[in-house]
Amino acid sequence: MSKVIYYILSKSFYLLLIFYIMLTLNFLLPRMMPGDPTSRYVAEGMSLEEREELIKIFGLDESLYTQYIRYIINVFKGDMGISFLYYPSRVWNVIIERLPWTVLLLGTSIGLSMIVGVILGSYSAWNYGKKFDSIVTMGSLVLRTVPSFWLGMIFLLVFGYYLRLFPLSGSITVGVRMGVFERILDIIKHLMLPVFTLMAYLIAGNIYLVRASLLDVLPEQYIVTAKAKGLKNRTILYKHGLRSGIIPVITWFTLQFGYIVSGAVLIETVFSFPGTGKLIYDAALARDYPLLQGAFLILTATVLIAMFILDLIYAILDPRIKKD
Amino acid sequence: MIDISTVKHTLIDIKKFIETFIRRKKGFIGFIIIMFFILTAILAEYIAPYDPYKITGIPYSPPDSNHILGTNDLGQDIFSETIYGARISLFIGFIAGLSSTILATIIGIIAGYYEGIISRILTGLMDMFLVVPGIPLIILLAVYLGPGIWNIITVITILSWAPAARVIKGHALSIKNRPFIEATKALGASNMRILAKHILPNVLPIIFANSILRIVDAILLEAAISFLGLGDPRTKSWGTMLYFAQQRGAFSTGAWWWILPPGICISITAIGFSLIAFTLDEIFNPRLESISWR
Amino acid sequence: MPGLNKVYIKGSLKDSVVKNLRNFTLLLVVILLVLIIMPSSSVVAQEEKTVKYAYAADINTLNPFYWTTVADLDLLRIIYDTPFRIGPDGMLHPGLVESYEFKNSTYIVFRLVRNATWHDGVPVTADDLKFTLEFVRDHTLPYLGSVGEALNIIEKIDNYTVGVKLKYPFSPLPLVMADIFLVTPKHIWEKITNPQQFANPNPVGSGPFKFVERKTGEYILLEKNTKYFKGAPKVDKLLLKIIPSLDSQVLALKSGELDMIEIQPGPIVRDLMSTPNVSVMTAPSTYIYYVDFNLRRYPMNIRDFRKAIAYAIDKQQILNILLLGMGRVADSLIVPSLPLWYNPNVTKYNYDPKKAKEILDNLGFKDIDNDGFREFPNGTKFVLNMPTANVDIWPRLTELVANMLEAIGLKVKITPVEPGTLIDILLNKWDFDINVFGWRLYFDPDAYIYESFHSSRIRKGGLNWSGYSNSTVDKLLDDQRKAVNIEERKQLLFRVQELLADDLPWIPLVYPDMIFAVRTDTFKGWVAIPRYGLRNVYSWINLRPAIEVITTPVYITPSPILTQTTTQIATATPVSGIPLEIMASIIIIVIAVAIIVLIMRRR
Repeated sequence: MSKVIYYILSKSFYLLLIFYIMLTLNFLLPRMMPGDPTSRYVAEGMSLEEREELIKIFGLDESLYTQYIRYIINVFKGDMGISFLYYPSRVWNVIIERLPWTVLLLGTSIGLSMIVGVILGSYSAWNYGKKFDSIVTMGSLVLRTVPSFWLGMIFLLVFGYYLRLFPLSGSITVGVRMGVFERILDIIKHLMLPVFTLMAYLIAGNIYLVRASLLDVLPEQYIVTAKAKGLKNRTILYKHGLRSGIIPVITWFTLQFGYIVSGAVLIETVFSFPGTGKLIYDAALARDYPLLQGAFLILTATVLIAMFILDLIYAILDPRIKKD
Repeated sequence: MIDISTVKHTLIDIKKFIETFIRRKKGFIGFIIIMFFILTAILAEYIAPYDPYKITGIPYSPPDSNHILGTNDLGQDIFSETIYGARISLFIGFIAGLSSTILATIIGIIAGYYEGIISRILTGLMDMFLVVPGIPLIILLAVYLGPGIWNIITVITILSWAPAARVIKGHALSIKNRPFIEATKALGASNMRILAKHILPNVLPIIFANSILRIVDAILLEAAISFLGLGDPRTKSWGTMLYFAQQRGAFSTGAWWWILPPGICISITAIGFSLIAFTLDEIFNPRLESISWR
Repeated sequence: MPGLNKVYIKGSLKDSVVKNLRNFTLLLVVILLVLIIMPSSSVVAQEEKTVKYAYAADINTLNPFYWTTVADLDLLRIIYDTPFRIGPDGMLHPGLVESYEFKNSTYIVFRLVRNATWHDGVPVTADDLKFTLEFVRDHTLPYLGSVGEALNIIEKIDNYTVGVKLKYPFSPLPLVMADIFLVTPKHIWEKITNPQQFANPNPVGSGPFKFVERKTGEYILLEKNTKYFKGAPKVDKLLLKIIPSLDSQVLALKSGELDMIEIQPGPIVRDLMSTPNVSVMTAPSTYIYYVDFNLRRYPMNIRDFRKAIAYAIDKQQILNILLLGMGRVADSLIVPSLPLWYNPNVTKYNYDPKKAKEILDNLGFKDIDNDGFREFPNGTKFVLNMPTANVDIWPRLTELVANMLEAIGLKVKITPVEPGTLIDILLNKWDFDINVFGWRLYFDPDAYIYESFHSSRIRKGGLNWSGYSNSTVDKLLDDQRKAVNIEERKQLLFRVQELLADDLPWIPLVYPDMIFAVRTDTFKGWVAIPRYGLRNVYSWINLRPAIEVITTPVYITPSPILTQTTTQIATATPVSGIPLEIMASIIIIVIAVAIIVLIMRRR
């Protein structure tokens, strides 16, 4: 028992160390970019004196050391500060406005593609060498190599622009009064094209993984025994095959969550979807240090939590795994 | 100790290898595709009807007899752009794929072979790069380094070495733990020698297949980076073409002739390389051809 | 193996349950798809007399002092009034201030209108103007810093008259006050403790429309101010929708969901021109695109070299290709949409590549090694370093100019960087040879021309990044700042433009227009002014339902004949945040259930 606790503690320490390193990098990296947060106002005609005043307002006129200390303290207070790009909105508010959309987009995509991927991959492995397998494998190859943003553009062109079935952008229709049910449908309508685009890539990855790991597992003895026992194919497939084969898929699945906050920036750009991916991109271009720091913080935390959960799952699922 | 017979044997091996490769349908198709694009890239000056940087037509015009794929927002010929684009995209793909593989191999082998602190640090580094989401990293790197082909190659290398390194490390580790390595060590062979003579050659097949996949990654990453506007808008890669298509309203005009060609080329090239990678994988890591008990 | 048998029996039962579940899920999905594909039949009847237009990005703040973006300013200029206005004729007109007088070059008296009120009913008085001026003076505000520096003492002469003593003569004051100076209510702002960070969620202004509500990232709703001092608007509400995608905006305009949008030159213009019930209007912008040089380096510091480049550029082609002809070829560095200051009689450089080549030959830049590009007179390789922003129109504009330079034998190396880095290169590092940039001038040209061309502005981070230093021009620029007499100032600025056209520190390229598309079947009466296009107070007052054809736009005080009805029109209720979270949770629950089902099946 203490071995497990030791394992969890050492992993936690390791993760905390990484977290601290990332925090510091988080602070330094944005400040190392050329230019400053007031650069974007030069083209609007802000004079040097006015920009210097703005720098003071942003709190950037103090020494780097002072800023760093204040940053670390604020992280532990949970205060992410005020955004430069969206001044005077607080960073937390800016992020929290967009985070649900990204979670919705990626959650739906990852979830649906998990289901479809596992089903298709399983049947594909089962029918190895047959027509079904070839079609699925080829199909998933194509889906995996098509650039996702281009696929999005094609979907948009065909289904949004020519066929007018789906809206061209955004997450909702703005400025129109709608009932709750209608609003839900409206959101789903706006979600569908981005989700399908994302799913294309994710499904391909899932199919490949499930199929490959099942192909490793299926020929093994205990499967043969199960078949000899006369169990239904489906039971063998799911109960026995997937149980071992699911591990790489779960790894992949959990790691995907790390990408949730930032991963969909390409899709968000194509569909003008108000998510956090595009937010990070805009914040980087605008040198919005607090917003970048806040977003990266959430991102890093999400990823580290995902890694931690992953290790826990390993520990639970397979006590045979060496802990070194 | 290179002598005639070794060279002859190697050549025969290579010939046998190519024959095996071509015999497989997937590999053959992949090979043809890649050859097609490589030839296009090399012979661009002869194939392309126009200089893609010259304004030769009316902006936004659909395909016609003068311009097979129409023109872009400046009036440059899209067909020529696509042809020259092969050159840039393939170049970046190859170089970035290669450098990513080399980096992954070096780090992977060292991390797998040596134990202790070195291995832990390198593995930690690997984990960090695996886990840090790509897009913010791309943005930051691209802003620091600025545009330019070599900078893009650097960015792609930094982003894609980690997964391959993990795989290579795993293999190096398993090879290292084999008894004959222990024996060789006991006989007093130096680490360098073991690495070079035993580990490396055994890991090579994995690396080979993997490196092609790195090229696929590189091509797709270059497209993504350029599409975000972080690439080099002056060089006409397929990704840059899509960037301008998006920025300059190819959409609102339904200019499918601008949107389709670059994307199709990227896809087909990536598929070609993937097919080659799969075939290599099949050759070097054969699986059971069928599940016998069915 | 006993365990397997148990599983087998359990499996069959579970199988049938799971099968039903799967079929049910399938049915649900099909129903959902059908519902979605069906066009929404329950589109809410649009509000009558609500003018709908779009912003590409949400506003950040409604703080009339600490706004930073153009979107903020545009909206604030509806809710708040400026003391003066620039009319469609480009001339200064009264606003909240009905008349002003320079008693001497450092003392101005402003007389306010007497019938203006704040949206909460309190009358607008000299106290408010005094308060606003003092606030600007006491804080260095973004964009109003130079005004604040010039202000000395503000005194209230009577309830509607304010006397302003300046520290030194500052001629730009009236025009700046027509542009970005928003008069704010003293009785509200004197109570605010931290005005810098105050987002002003319920702004009280004196403008033609008052703030009703806002849903972040979605829309902003304003309703008419019936007590507006120039007369109540003829439309009831303004609804600003946030639609980031320009393509979606175009689609919304075509389908009637929007009444006005701003568009960029491109094929969409032709498309909209041929759309029924839609009209495309161009408005004089104050934009200018130009080529600037790093005058510290050789050979950019040689005037003839710059002239050669001026002759090498085909401005008409740039106008035709990039702007589809919507704009004008540029001659002076001050834009023609500011007729008070624009000098059309400056030296012009027509497209003459032959002449350009001659000049370069004479300067000793010849192609000795026959590689197609000219070398330095001493034979070393010559490459022009041209950084540019990699967004919007800049890469294309730079590419066009570079092509023209290469056509006369000058090799150009374009370095596209993202905008923040470009600013760093230009303002701090001064690491460039030549560059293409653009400015959007204010009503008053001083901020632009002084900061860009006065030698005292050559400093790291300063806007004279070219490094231009001409003592004659310096003196003229200083003098025009002091010249409160408009005619006198005009002559001084005319002379500045002539000298700049001769010296050519920058080469003006084009003056792009602003382009708008409006629906003709919903509202009429859009009025265009420089710099802000259709979005200005004249439009807001003049807009009326398109019941009849109007031949001339009316921008003077509209007739007091009121045509609005008194029927109750429901407000667009904000969508509460709750359905969104419910939606998210429902979908996630569905996914979770599906996963559980899947896992159960493996048992």
